[in-house]
Amino acid sequence: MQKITRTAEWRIIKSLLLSNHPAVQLILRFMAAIFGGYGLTYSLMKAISLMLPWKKHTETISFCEWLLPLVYLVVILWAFVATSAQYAWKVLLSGIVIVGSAALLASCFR
Amino acid sequence: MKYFTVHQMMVQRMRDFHTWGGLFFGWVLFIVFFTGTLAVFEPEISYWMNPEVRVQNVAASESLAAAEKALRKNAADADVWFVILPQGRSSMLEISWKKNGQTFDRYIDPATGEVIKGRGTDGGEFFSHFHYELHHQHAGSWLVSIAGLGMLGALISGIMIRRNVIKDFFCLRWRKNWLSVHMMTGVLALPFVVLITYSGLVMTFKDSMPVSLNTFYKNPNGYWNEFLDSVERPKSQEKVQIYPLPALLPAAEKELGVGDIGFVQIQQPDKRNSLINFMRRVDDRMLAITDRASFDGVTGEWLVSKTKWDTQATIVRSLVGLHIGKFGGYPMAWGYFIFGLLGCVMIATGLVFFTVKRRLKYDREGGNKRDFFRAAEAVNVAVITGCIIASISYLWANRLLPLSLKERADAEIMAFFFIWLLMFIHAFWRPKEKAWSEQLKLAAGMCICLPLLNILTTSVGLPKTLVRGDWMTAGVDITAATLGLILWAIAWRLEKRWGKTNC
Repeated sequence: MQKITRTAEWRIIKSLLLSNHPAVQLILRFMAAIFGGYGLTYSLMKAISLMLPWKKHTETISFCEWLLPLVYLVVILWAFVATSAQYAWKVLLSGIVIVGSAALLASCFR
Repeated sequence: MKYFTVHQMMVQRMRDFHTWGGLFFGWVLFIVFFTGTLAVFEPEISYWMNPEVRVQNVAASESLAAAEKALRKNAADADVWFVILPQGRSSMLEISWKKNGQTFDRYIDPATGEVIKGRGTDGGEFFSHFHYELHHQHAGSWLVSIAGLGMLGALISGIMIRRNVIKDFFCLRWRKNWLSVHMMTGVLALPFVVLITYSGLVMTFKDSMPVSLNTFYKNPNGYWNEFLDSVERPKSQEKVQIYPLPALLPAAEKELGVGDIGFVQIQQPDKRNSLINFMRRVDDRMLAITDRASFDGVTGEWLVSKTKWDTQATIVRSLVGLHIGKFGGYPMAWGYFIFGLLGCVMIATGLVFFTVKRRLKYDREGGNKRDFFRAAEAVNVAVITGCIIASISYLWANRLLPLSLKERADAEIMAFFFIWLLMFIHAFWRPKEKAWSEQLKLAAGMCICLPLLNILTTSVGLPKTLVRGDWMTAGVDITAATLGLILWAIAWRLEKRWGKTNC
């Protein structure tokens, strides 16, 4: 029996994540849409709430409430328009990092 | 090798999204749409489910006096009192109070101020809560939010993969097959489904993604207090009787409009720091937010009124108003009900089409794939007809469970889930065509027999309510029976169709 080492295990996961197989692509896209979309919308919501100059917080919250669902929707659809699932994940993750850092910066300057 | 253009590849991926997203979210969405459609008639269903509560309408001041008397008698040591006055379609006078975090509610007779000995039931409220949190609060509303996004995505991708669908609809190219019914009801209900899903999404979004709320407030209460500009008062222990509510009514009506008071909230009742909030009803306008006037509880002195709302609040609360559809009375409610049902038909036929399209293929192939598609078909039956049967069983349980039962409201909900579980077992156990027609006929039978059951078990049967002109009760009976007839016709058509072909 072949012994599967940790590196071999990692290689299997890696090949699965980078796979071109339609089913893998579809599952990765769904995950990008739901979880990546959640992450990006989450950080965008944080950044917007911290950056908007409105005095009343409740106004900011209401604004986010009707705008951000639309952002999430666009991200979900885009996850299926992107050329590959891996590309979708890359863009979404970098988006989360960029928008998240903007939110962090904004929270420092507040 | 065949080459695809970039556009064709994109359409293919949208098709995958529509197919698989539609399957998994479709199950959730059907449940959400169906129970949400029933929730349109929440006041009627609540009224039907409380047959003991049949009272004469009296003036608002008399109702208030009766409510105050009943609250002092039943809930003298509560933290908050709440009065829901008869308004619009709901003619019942309800009191509720909070004590140590628990909420209690009772219906009372406005003439005497006595609590009406009714049956424990959650009424139509169960449907309106279930349809956005699926009995699981935060986890439920998260799932419903995601499914709602899936719905909007499915509409867009659906139009993308069948670009002719709108043209076909207006050229009256309506065919009698699953796909055509799915597409045509989809186009017909498109504006409504977009509106209802987007507004519903906005309503659950604060729950599923409470980021901006948590940025500024420790908990939702802090947010709501600032949103509503509530008056905050420290706790007091000294007992002082509050200013009589009916005497405050004219002052409140001067602030909010004559005859428009819908709710009254009394914080720290019969205490030195008591506070009385009069709230305007919301069932006659799109903006679903209660204008309010606050008074000192003891002296009856007017403190503050809140009737102006900022732009963003107006946008969000108008969307809420459009979602709950309380304005516009019965024509509006029926429109919501019918379009809601059309949305259900769209989702259901889409789900059926998924399996019908693959049925021939997987029957030939066998193996794991066949098992998966068979399971999907069974879940379809259990979700679509099972949800209908569970909902009608909830009404049946209301009439059949003994009145003396403890925790009766919970028992009705248990019946709802238990029957649904039975339907799941039945759907997996029977061959698919049999499962469909048997469950459809069961649902139809239960709907058609509902008026009969009502006549046998209560004094608000159809003949009496028709004579009395009590359309709130009769309407539920008649609508259930009509839906039953439609379900029976569908079952009959399906049997005929599946007798000849396999799809």
